Amino acid sequence: MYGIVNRGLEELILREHGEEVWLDILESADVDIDGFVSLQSYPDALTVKLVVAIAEYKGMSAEEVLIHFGEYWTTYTRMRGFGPILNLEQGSLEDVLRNLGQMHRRVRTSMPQMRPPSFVVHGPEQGVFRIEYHSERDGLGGFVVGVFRSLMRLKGVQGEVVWSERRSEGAPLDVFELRIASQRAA
Amino acid sequence: MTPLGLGHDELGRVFPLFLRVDPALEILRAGPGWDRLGVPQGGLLESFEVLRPEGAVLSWDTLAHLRDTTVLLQLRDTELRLRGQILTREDYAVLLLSPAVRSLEQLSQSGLQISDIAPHDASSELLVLVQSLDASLEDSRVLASRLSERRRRLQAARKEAEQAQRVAEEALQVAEQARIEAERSAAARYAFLAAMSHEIRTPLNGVLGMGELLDGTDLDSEQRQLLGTLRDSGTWLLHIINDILDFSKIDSGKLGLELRDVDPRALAEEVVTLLAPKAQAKGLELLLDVPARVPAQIHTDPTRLRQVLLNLVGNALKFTRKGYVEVSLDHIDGALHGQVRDTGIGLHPDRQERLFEPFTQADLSTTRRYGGTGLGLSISRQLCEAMGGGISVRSVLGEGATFSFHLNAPGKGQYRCPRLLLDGPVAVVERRSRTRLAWASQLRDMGAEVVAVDSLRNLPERRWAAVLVHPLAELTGQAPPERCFVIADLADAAQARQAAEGLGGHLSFPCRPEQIRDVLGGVIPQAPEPQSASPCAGLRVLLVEDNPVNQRVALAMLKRLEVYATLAPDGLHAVALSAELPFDLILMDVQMPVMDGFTATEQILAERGASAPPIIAMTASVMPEDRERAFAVGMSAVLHKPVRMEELERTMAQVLQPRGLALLG
Repeated sequence: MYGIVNRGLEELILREHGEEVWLDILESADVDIDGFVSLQSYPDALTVKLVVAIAEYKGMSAEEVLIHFGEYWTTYTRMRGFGPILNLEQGSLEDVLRNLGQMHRRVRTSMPQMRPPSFVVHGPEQGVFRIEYHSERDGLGGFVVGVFRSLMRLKGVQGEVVWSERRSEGAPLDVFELRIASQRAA
Repeated sequence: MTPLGLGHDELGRVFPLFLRVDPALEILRAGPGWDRLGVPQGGLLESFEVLRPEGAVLSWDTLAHLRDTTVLLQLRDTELRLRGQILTREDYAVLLLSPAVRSLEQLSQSGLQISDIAPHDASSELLVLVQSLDASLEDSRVLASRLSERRRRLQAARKEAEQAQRVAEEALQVAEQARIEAERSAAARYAFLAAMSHEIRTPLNGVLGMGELLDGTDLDSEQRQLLGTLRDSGTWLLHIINDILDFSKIDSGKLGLELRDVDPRALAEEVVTLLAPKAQAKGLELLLDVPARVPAQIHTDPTRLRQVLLNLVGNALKFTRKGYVEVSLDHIDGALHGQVRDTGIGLHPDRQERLFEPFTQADLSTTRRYGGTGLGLSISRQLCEAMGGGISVRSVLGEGATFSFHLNAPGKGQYRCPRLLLDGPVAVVERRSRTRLAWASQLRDMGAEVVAVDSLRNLPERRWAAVLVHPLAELTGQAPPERCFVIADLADAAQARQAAEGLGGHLSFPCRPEQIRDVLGGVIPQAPEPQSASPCAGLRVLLVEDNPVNQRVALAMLKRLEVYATLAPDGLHAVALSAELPFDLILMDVQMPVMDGFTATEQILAERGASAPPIIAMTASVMPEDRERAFAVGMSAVLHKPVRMEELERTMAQVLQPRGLALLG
């Protein structure tokens, strides 16, 4: 996992709880690192340990932490200047969703060790986007839920994100449904 | 159709910012990217400026010439630059453009999005790379800032630690200085007390010595009573001086132990014997119990052990009005365990903790009522601790107290209790139950069959190997039984000896098994002991003493011991006299004018060599170094003032015995 992800987790905790708690979490996760560099690659296990330690601190499940982190991720990447990659400012929700794959392909030049996921967007049919999520990694579905929620919020779309099919429950792949209730005028 | 044979929509997907113009350079079609920017109004010439190739001017003719060149155009009135190529046909030209920006931010500020960059244009990936590098650079700055902050904190912490260390070192220095001062002060205090002790002992020697001599003269009962008070007061004063001196010695760290093998039974018996008169005077039973498992010898400092026992037993007797005081010793895992139990006034629980603190008695009224310096128990505790042990007390107010102590004292040799070989049982007639039980227990340990009763009236009729009877009153007005032995308290020994005339013999309580064996194992009846003359009678002794009072005391004692004494007033005279006259022994004061006792001893030994008589130091000094120096210069023994006659006689006999001198007549 690239350092930008761990930096995102760090910023989330710093923003919500302050430096002392982050240092406690590092200690609790047995991570002896002063800080993360966005373009440096770190073992996935390190990120998992951080998520587990945050979950323990917050009294949440690891999946809840990932959803929460996914919701923050859009804010964080915009803050770090990556907003235009997703056409976040000008595109519609559909533009953004359909641009997810291209975005990952562009990023791969900068982060050659990245194993990006891919998304197949269907719809909308009757106000529902059906999105297939393909990834080499397991266990990051919660993060995707959080990202979709934040994108809907950013684009002024009301509705819900449903994790309708789970690979962990025997489904061939993870599928998410973005059920649009209404869209306020942008 | 466009020159590529593509529809405008397809061309828009590949070149979102394409422009199609006619020969008049009017814009006919624009790619979808222009929707966000707004299609430039007017002709190409009005909307764009050619930045590269430099100096080129937009016209239909130049467009054809520029087709093999990458052009860079500036959209007038904006910051946006567009880079691309131009394709021309007879009646139109197509500009395939893409934004030329340096960052995602600039792209965004231009009103464009990343999808407006032609997909085959590597700029989009380069923009992401640049942004990622910027992000990493920012991360590195954050890290560097954290490391700087950490280094600053470390430096501050190091400075604080150095400061704390300096403070601690200063505090240590102050503490060390204070310790040195305290030690110096304690040593000075001890030196002062030792000097004062010397000054007090010298006249006290005169008081006690004269009292002892006076006791041997004809006195009426009132005079003897007054003399008794005088001697008791002197003895008590000496005791107080010794206590204060001991405490001061421990306080100044000068307490040294002299360890050697000693017989614990003999030592305990000595203490009990010494205090027996006190117990007898108060009508108390004084009992001693040393079981057979206590070794024959223990390795300890006998002086200090005796001091602890004397203090505890003396205290017990002091605070007990009726009942008994029992002393018991045991030996467990290389340690001597002692216990002194009494049926005295006891202690309040709150007072027991600080009982061993110096200058502390149970309360002030105790001091007023019972006397004492309050140092005895504190000294005892420190002595026990110095010998690797400790001391404690258990007590119930009004029901007595039990003081327990222990100290390291490795054992040596198993004690073998003497066996009695008698032709029948032994009877013990003793009114006091505890003393009766103690006698019976001791006799049984020696293998005897014992019957113990409280009076002669209850003694069964049978043939006894021995009948031990106490008190003396039991024997008045009736015929003593056969094989009758008188048993009495130590304080009544003389009276018992008298009462035993014509009987089997007498035994004092407490009594060692060896004595019991010697008396009961002997032939009945035993002849009364003859009164022997002094073992020192007839000796020629040189007394070296400068103080007139001490001269009189010592001379009178020597006379009582039937010794021929010659007086020398200082060391110099002593050296001269010893060269002229054949003395058997020299009693040498240490501190004297003209020549001190140490120098005189060295000179006498140097001149006379092996033929020099033994020299005994007589000193009021209590400094260990004086004692060590006495032996170092060749003296045979040291007597501390005030000197008791009995002690003087015993020491003289001890130093002369190895020389084979005939001490009797």
